[in-house]
Amino acid sequence: MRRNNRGQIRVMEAFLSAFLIFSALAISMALSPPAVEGNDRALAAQGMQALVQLDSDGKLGEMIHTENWTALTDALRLLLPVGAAYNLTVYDGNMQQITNSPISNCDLVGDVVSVEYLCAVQSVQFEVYTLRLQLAVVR
Amino acid sequence: MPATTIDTFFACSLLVVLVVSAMAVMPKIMYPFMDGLAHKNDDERLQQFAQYILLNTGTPSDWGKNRTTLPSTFGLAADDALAYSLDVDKVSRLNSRNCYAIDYAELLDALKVSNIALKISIQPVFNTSITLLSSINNGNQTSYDFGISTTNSGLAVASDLSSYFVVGDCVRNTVISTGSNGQGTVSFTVQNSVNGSALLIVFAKAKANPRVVSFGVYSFGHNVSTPEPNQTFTALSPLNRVLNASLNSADTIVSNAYAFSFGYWANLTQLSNATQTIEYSFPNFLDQSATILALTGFNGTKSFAEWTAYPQVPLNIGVNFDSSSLKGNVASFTYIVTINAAMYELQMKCKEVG
Repeated sequence: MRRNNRGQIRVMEAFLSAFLIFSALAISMALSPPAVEGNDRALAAQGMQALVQLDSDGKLGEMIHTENWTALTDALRLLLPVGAAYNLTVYDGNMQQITNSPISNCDLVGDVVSVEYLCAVQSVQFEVYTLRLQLAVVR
Repeated sequence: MPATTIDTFFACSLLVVLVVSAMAVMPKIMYPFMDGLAHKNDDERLQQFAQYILLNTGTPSDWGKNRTTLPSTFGLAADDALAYSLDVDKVSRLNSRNCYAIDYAELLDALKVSNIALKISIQPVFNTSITLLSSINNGNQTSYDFGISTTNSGLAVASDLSSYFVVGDCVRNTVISTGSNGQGTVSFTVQNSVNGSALLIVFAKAKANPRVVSFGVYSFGHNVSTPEPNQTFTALSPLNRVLNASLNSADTIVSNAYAFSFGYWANLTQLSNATQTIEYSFPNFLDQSATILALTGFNGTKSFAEWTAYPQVPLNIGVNFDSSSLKGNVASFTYIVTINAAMYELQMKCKEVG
């Protein structure tokens, strides 16, 4: 009886080994290649660059200072890619949100990237605003 | 043979088969993961590479202005310390229609990279298209109506339009605005005593941001047949405020030379007139706009009106990534750049090769 059991245990060992190997394979398959982050990075760079260009002649600070959110929305729509959804929030020096209406073109769905930009306004009183621009690709 | 021996043999065989099959399958399963890890930083590296081109002036820093100078290191930035501000002459020298252009091999030499394929495209941020709606001949004069449409990837861009009608020595200008639908109509009435190839040059400034400028040029015949394609009789190469007009035949005579921007226009001053090559200086207009340089004249009895832009855009330089050998894994970066205070869209495509 004991001899017979020894053979059966070896078969069980083999099946256990098979189970181990297949588990290892399943886990390695679950480890998919790293997610492609290039598109997100490019979108974030485009968002940051749009803000830099708008600010290069002081226009961005002027629009924020005068709370001309319509002009800011139009300017962003022109410089950001057509297939990008965006949402801009502007905070004052005390990190209080000053945008009373959403500066966006549509709802953000899917992978959202965020860029922050510090904008100093050319005026008698020194004022700094923090802009948080969220971007996503419209699918 | 005892049952335990058969069981042990069966168990060992099963293990051997499993190990061998696992060795065969594992590399195939793991390859995408390992490959992904190996190329994890490629996009970021290529993005830094693209930014290097846009944020550095190259060597010498004024290589764009000197028509015979080839850059020893490549960069497109202007020497004004503003981020993403490109030099108008360096950009113009990327256009293959410019006789002082550098070619792709010289560009790669100056970049000192051999394992990156590259394509640079520069164009206005939005498109200005012109259509002739009607032309009515009233005996001694003709009235033209043109439809102007300003769009960005099919979406309307409300803009201010400055239009120039050029035929022979006659120049007319009108300024209008499009509606929110990006559509506008421009009308001109021209005497029939002048005739020849004519140009309608339209500059558009986005209302949302006057630094975002586009232009369009429509070529047609005023009381003559449809003109030949642009630069059939002359090859126009602007560089460092000098327009080089290379005449394609000895019969070609240039009558008038003009420079136009959104707010200004001027006759060009002739600097030299060698055999089949004329050079003109053109002014540095202060408005935020491209400059369109136009020549009118005759080739035998046939009139012409030809033009080029300064900066000489739209342009493409580099490899064609649509070809089958280079398809896939192409990193594409789009930038809004400033050239002579006006904004343009620059797209750079890069791929590691070899």
